[in-house]
Amino acid sequence: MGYMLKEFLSAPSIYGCLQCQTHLARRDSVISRTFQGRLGRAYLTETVVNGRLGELEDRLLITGLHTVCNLYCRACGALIGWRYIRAHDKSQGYKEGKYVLEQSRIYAIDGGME
Amino acid sequence: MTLPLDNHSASSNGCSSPTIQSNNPHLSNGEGEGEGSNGSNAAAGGSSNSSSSSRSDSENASGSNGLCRYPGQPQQTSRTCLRDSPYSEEQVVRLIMQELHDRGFVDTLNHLQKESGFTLEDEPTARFRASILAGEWDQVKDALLSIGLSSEENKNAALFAIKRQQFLEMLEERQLKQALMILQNELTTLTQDIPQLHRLSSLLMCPTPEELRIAASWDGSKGRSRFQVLESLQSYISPGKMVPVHRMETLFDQAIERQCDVCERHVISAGHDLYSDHSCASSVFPPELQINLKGHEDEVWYVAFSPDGQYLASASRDKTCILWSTSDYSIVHRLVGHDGEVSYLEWSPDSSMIVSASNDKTLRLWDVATGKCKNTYTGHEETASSCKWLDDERFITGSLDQKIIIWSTNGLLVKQISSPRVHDMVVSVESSLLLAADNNSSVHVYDLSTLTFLYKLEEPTTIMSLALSSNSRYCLTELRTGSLHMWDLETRTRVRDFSGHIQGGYVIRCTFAGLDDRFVATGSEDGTLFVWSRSTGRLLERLKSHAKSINGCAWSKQVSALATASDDKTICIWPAYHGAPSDISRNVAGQSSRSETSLNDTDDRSMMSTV
Repeated sequence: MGYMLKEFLSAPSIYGCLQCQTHLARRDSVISRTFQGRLGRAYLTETVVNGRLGELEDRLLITGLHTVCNLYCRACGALIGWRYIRAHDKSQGYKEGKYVLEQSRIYAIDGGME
Repeated sequence: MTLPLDNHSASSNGCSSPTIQSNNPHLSNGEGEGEGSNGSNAAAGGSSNSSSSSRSDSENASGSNGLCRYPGQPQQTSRTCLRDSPYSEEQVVRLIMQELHDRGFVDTLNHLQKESGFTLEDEPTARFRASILAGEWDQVKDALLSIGLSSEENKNAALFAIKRQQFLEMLEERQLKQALMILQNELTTLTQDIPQLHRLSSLLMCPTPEELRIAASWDGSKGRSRFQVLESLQSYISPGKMVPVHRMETLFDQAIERQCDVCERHVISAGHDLYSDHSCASSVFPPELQINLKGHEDEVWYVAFSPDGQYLASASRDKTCILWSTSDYSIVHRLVGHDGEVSYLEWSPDSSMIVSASNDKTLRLWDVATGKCKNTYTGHEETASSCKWLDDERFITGSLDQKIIIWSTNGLLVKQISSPRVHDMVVSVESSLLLAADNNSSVHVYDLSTLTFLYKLEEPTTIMSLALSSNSRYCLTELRTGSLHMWDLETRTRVRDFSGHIQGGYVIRCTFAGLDDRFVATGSEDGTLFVWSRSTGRLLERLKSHAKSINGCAWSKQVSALATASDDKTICIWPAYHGAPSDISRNVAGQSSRSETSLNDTDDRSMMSTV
């Protein structure tokens, strides 16, 4: 897929990959902190940078059947969450296109202001 | 002050002397029943009298009014001029005479002077030229005054140049006292340029003629200096009297230069063919891929030719670099050692070393002859996004970790400054400039020697890569939105845009290519190499090279080829044509209707090229 330059966010508080500190999402782009991931708490976010998507798969989650892709950190390859592609239940439709970040895989970086 | 040759009014020149006009009935007889316009076009043009008044300044009028007539010979001849020409007959014939004279055709020259009634130089000018070349300084001044110059200051400037030469020659012969007298009595009155006078008086101190010559950048009375004085005096004397040296050849040079300028696909030098206009082939590159290099085990992210043209180096996601020989494209070395994908490499100016940058956040210095790693450089906290050599011992790197570092080939860190997050960098050692594209859509320009910030160029979106022309004047930015912007660094303005290729967020390199950086080339995510004309912005070629996205492209002047690196793990080489346009069909085997088809392909009515 070619060489991609690492993106850097500028915001007061940023979440980064726990393994390699690569910026992933702005703290203020988090929509909900009460999601359940495979490894514990997880955050629902609008956008993620420096992420790489895995294969499409159908997964049965607490809220129903969804089509998701695994989300990996592009720099170190760590599995950091997933992205909702399709929700089979109409009421879960608001999740489509959004990302879930496992809280145990990320950490907060203070002050990424340029 | 020079007479423009293609200026119609110049042809009439105020020389309405009766002898010239008497030619007219002769010429119109030769034309048959000429309308008035025929006669007016005649070289000695009487009828464009209205424009003759515009050339009424006395210098030019006296310059060609009858002074170059061959003495004692009637004007009438029995020749018929075969065609009209807007160019003054006197000027054309005298240029021919100058060529004949320079080439030694003395008999023909004399005959031509008799037959046409013009002379190459009138008596006073010939005397003036001879006295300068012989160094007879007493006669020079009189000869100059007898020619007549247009204004007082021109006269002073001309005399100054002459006296300066005399002064230097006297110094050379160690006649210091006379030299000093010239300086005091004559040179000081002829100019206001005090620093120049100081420089000349300091030359009195030079102990030997050799030192004098070096100090004054002067090659001595035996050298070309007298010719040079004559040439510099040209600008004070009407060109009508003393035709500028090798004037015809100067005009030929200008014509060929113009032909090259309008040659859009300029790949080969124009040469000196006067019979036909220069034009490069209708298609620069062969329409189908000729050379494809396999050797990497994963995506190839960067290619670069060595400055001496002997090697091509490629950097790949397979964590290695490969050195290819450009003569047969065999693999010379594999540079193994990095722990991460290699994203960038740069040749040293003397082609003996390579620096590579990898996702393992280190840089490695390789010796080209052995293929061994000489040094590993740690210090950047992110991958170095670009590396450029400052000389054969130091290179500078930029990275997303907000540091710009200068390293030396013996392994040490020389200097470090904090910087914006650098996406790409280009360096011009000649102009002492460093351009760094940051992650915020601007290019920061620094002075290279002091690393002080000078100014910024703003772009609308993220800059993916940069390129610099070989004259360090133009800079290309490749943008996230799929266009290339070309900036003129002298005026700091954006002068041209190129687009049509596909940019999807990955780094794609761009480059100038061709003779005088005639082309702009970049890869595209559909595996096509795009080539535009730099001067017009028109898309010239779309070369289908690869199955997957092209990441890097490079041009070599010596090899005269473009190389592209792709995600499909291969490298393609596109040689540019060397031969004359007629050789094209012979160059590429089996491509009979090549020129027509490629013209249709690249004739981009549907293309999105922008100006």
